Amino acid sequence: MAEAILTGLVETIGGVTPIYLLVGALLGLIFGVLPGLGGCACVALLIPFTYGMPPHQAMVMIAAAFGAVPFGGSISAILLNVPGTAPNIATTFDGYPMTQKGRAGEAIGTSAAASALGAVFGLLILVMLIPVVRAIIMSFGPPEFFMMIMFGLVSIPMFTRGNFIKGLFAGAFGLMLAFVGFDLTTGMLRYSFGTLYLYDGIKLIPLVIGIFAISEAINLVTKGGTVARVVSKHKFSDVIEGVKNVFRYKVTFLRSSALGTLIGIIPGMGGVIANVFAWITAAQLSPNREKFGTGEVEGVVASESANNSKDGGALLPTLAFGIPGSAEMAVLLGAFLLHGLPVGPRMMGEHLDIVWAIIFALLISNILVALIGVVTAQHLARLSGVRGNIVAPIIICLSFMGAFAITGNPYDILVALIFGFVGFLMVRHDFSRLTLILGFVLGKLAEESFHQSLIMSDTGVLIFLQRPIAASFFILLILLVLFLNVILPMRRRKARQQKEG
Amino acid sequence: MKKGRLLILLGCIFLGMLLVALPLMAACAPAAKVEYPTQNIRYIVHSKVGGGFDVFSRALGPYLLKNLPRETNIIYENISGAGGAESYAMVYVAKPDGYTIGLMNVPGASVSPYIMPVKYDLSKFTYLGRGCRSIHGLFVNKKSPYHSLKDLQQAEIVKFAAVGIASTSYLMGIIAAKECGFNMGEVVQYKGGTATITAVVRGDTEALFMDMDSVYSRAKGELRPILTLDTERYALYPDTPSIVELGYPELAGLCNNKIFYGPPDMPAEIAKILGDALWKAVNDPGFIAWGEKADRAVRGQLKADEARELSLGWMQKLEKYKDLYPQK
Amino acid sequence: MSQRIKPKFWRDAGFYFSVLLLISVVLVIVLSLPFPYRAKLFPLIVGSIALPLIVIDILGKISTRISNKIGALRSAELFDTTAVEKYQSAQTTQAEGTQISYPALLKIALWFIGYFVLYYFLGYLPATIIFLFCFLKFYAHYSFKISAVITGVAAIALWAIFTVFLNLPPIKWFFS
Repeated sequence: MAEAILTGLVETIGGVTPIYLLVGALLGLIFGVLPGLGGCACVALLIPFTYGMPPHQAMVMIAAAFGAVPFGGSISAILLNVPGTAPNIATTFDGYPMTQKGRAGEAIGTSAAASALGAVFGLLILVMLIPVVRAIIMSFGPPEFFMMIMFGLVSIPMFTRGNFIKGLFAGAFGLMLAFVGFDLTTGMLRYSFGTLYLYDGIKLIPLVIGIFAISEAINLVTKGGTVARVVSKHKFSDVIEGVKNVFRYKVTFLRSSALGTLIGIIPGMGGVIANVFAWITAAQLSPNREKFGTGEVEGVVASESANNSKDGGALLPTLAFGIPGSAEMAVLLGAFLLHGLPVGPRMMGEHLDIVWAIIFALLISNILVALIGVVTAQHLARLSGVRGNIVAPIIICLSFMGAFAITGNPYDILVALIFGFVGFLMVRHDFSRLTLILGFVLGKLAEESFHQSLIMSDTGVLIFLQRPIAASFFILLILLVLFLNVILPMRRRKARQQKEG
Repeated sequence: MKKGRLLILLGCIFLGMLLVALPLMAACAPAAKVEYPTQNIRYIVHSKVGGGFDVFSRALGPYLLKNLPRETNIIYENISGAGGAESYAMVYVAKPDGYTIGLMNVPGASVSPYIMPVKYDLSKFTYLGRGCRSIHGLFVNKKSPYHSLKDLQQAEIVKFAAVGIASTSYLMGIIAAKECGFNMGEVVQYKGGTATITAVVRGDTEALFMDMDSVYSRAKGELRPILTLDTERYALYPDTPSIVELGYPELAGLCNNKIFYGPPDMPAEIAKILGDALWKAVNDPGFIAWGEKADRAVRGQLKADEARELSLGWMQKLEKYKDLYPQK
Repeated sequence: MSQRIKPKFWRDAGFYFSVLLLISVVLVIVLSLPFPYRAKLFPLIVGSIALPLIVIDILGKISTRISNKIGALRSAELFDTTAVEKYQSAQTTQAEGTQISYPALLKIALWFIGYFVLYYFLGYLPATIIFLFCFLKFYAHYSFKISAVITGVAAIALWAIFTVFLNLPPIKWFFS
């Protein structure tokens, strides 16, 4: 093992490979920043490029690329409310409000530190969990998925700022959007109005680009002024403050990284769920929970550390079993095949050095782009001072490109545009976009795993209680509902009575 | 008339005659050898990057380029909507100039018209050959009580997993269940081949039909093979009987086919150039060696007309089984 | 606390938006009825949660008495009056943040739809160049020089990334 580690390290930093690592990292950063592109597109681009290269060099470059993507995505999430990749969604929830309050530099600093440290954490866990990974994968089936998702869905009411009824409705509406398209378990084509386009349903990326990016662009154009509503001098010390935040919220960081890694390990749960779940959980457990969604930096810590630790987690089933832990991992496996590397248990048996090279590349790339982020943050933060009239059309152009570039289907742009206006009207009339996205993301997996569980089950609905992990989630769910709807209000009432008394 | 003007007039008449005569001359000239390829070739893959068909196509690229008469590039486009139907529709309406080709999954493409509104007609494509065919088998969880086809036939119900209703694994399941007489019950659908294999390994479901190469590299030892859908036993699973041995030879053709195709009405010379180049590429020892190293054996290469027959054959077969699918 | 005088509900654009949402929910529910049981289970459950919510919201817009009661329902504190005040003040501050005239919104919509149409027929590069320049010059009223410079830089950057790297065809050929 030690030999493999050493060989892996040498492969990563020896010879010309560091140059490829750097190129991969920079490319990943750019692809992360540009909305709609992301890990999959970046790796897809690199695969033909690496064709003649020795396998270890190719893998280092590819790993560096998808390691840099999450942080890149957080930059546009924070500065423009445009998640650079879908797994950066939760970073917009608190990152953008921070920018609006003039704290963009701090936000980017926090994100950089959380991303780099989250990645380190994820990789450490990866190494430690190798012996038990099989047990983890084997324990998480559809019933467990369903209970986990319900856990998330039940907390939606918590995030309804302002109008409770409208927030809840937005969540339900998001769920309804998730039902459009071909249903896996029944073979039914729902709400597609006869079009082939809606066969796959409403796609996440155009939806997110529309509801967040385009609606924000519309807002900037109509409001005038600048992104940041507060004029502030962006100093380097703000960025350092941001970095320190990760240490201030140690517990949140550790918990979110652990959650991200775990969700990454479970094949079938992607980066969006990791990001959003970590944020939800942090909000549930934080004493500042009311501030989440208004620029609470703890939210950025949670979402970004989970976002990056998930990559370490996702590598585990990918390398150990050839089971992709996330969409990017599926593309990585394709890269393995193309380079004649085995997919499945043989990979760790025969090419442990390349496995370690990938781990090192991921590590170095994350730290590298985080450093780049910290150094450039205060300058990037100045972008928030640029006039909305210029930023808005640029966002529109990038949004159109992002929605279009991956699939080449112009109707994706139309979807983004429609939801852009819907999103704008939602903000105007006090419906929460946050809960809509939560409902959408969780809805698809919820229904699928529910029906899969029922078909699998010999005992109907009881299957959720018969499997230990699913049952535990169910109990946690009940406790959460009680906590949010009975205990919290009681505490508030008591606090108010004490104040008045 | 002045001399100059006369000269100009004569010049114009001459030019005019030339302009009329030249095309006529060209039309009467013996057919020049067709210059192909002179620009980049678009290769449409119906799955996301990294999927089986995608990797196959990209690995094939250099070998294909090697065998084309002129130098060019291949530009890959991944159009993964609607289980592939979008990519087939795109190629269907592309210009048949030889610069748009693709890789099709048969019978995946044959199933789609029964479950969604498709915009292509399989019988009209220009077929260029078959690159590879899979060997599928029936697997069960190694802890399950089933050891042979007989066990399955005697069981009351066997819980199957499949990769979605439009998938080959599901199609094979329903055909085999009908012809061999075992009860599949309701099939649990999963997204992606790996998730389906994992589900059976985990024990959530009991059985599945799957590409034997995939199972070998991902779950060797975890799943017990019951039968091989082929005319003979597969070298990787020497103890597993073939479907012919078990008495159902008509099911031996159930497999995934990677079929090269182009838009309808491609000119015959260009189709021939492509077909020959693809044939040489898929038979290239370098490519076959890659296949073996990547646990994705390249086998069953066919030429253009045989590929066409295969696809049309599947269309006919599905007519027989279409009632097993939920109606549109 | 100065109460903002609420406009009559039929003048409130929010009312029409909510009605639109109501129609969508009804559509989802109605369209799901012919589905087989399993396919309509979730849509019906979610629909039956969404329907009363949006109806309550619309009723709240019509009658202020109902909207006060709703505000009190938040956090299950039915008879706590402080919650009502908090709710009402939250309403006023939120809505005031995004004042806009709907004709202006329509104008923006037309600009973006125009961009989409250009995209569809011309491909991304010509569409982006035309849109960006025209928008900066004619909508945002920047000078010719600034508009041209920004458009140029953006076009080159997009071309470099999307055509050179990703092989996206910049200009749509009319026969493809």
